[in-house]
Amino acid sequence: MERNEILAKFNEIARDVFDNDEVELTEESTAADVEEWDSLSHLSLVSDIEDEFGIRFTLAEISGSKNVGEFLDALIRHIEKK
Amino acid sequence: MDITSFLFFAFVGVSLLIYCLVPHKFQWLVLLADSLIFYFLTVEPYTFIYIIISVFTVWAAALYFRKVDDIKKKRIVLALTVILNVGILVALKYTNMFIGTFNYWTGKSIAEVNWIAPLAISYYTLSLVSYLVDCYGEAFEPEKDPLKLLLFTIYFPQMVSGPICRYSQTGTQLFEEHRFDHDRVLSGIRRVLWGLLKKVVVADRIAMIVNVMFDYTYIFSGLWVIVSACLFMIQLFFDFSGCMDIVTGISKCFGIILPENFNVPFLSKSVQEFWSRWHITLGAWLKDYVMFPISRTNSFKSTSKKLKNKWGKWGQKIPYYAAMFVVWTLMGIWHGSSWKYMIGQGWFFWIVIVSGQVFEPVFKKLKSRLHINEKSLIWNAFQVIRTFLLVSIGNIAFRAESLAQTFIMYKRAFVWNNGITKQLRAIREGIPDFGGIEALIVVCALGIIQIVCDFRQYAGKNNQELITKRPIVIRWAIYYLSAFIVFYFSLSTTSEFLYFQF
Repeated sequence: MERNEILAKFNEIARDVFDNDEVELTEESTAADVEEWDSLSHLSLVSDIEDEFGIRFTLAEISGSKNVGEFLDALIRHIEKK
Repeated sequence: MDITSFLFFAFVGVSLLIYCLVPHKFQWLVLLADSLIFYFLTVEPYTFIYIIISVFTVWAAALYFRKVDDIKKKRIVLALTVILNVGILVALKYTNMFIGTFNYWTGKSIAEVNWIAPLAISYYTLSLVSYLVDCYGEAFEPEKDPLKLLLFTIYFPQMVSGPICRYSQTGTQLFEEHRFDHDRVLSGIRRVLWGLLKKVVVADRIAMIVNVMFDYTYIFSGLWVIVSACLFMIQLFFDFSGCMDIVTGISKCFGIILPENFNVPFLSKSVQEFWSRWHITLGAWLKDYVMFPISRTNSFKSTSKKLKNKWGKWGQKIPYYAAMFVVWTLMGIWHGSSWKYMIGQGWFFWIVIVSGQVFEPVFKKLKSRLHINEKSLIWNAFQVIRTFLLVSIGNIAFRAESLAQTFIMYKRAFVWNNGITKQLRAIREGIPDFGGIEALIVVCALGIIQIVCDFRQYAGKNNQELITKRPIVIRWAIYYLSAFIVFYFSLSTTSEFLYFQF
């Protein structure tokens, strides 16, 4: 799976979690860019991504990622490990 | 040892001198010796045994994780070590609360215990648990030297009122080489001075007014209850953030940067945002080590899915609200062994945050009907004031003597009172040593400086530049003036820091 495909899937899940069809995340996007992205929806997002890709993030990856790009890096690492 | 005392600053000065003079490999040992001296001069020395038990068990468990591959065994060791360490905290700090509650409900009179807890047990236990969980998750290599883990646990600036440090943040810094750096030390001293101004000049004076208002609740009813709650919130901010400025500044002098505990909390637009800006390290700890693990268990996920299939998005949120309830219960109980903290610092905020989320669609409709422009200054100001009032009302429990007084205060808020003369006279007579009009001017001036700094920080500006970019004469004039104000306006009866009790 290519990085841009993963990002597209990520966006699909994010739109569903945030209940907002206009969400368009880029590698540089952060939680501050999306009004609905609070700590609770962050957990839902993480959980849905884990289910979708069949992986499990570490605590450091969940709370340490500074933007979507870093989160994607972690996601890709887990996908490659599978 | 009181951290606003001359003895403490003499101790820090001598320590810093030795720290900068000794070779790198001995620097962390100087910090360890300082931390031990600070500990033994501050509390009962025998309580140190609890710290040794905690550090040793956590150190051994973390090394065990590295040596063993069996995940089941690792989990058991993790659970036992967490239970032991949290158990020590609960036993030492909460036994009397359990006894009191038991006596209340059963009518029995079991005697309370007189156990003394180690200094900062509520802070270092959380730091050690985070270290343990991170080692379990292989976030970093465990520390092989138990004395180094001991230093991470009892590093003296954080032993007053936190911040709750993570090994990934401060652990490595403690063992790095730090030579004397003029700019760094000066920057640390500036922060210490600002912290002292906030604590001994502002917070302790506001405390006098707040004390009168909370002691004579029968005079201060109606709107006065709200005023006293707001004043206490301001006192708490100047007290706690002042303490953080002092300890962070001292630590900076040694070259060790502690995590920030405040980020302009009073400009928060929601209670949830407030708690991400106030006591940041505690909120972050609860999020990372309680909320995350709960929300990632298989039973949580399956329940969440079932409820989502049944009731859609709202159903999915129910388990999260339940997990938040656990977090806010812990937030409340962390603040003290009394039901007033559980209700005022915990459940009150859980109710406010959850109801805010549940009724969000209603609020959205209402805003659209009223044609509210969410980007307008008035709306933003309204949100900030609303948040401040809500957190102040919740914090009445923090200041009140008991849960009973908390409810009396809430009740008295609804007793009509339009008086002003009697109340002002009570305040004036209640605090004879405020320091006159000049003290009031200084307090107000420092308050204005704080507000300006807050707005600058909120806009992403560097407040240190307000001083560092001035000519040298003005810079030093500000330092001397600040030191003079601290000496001249500090009260003879300086109170303990409000967060020291934890």
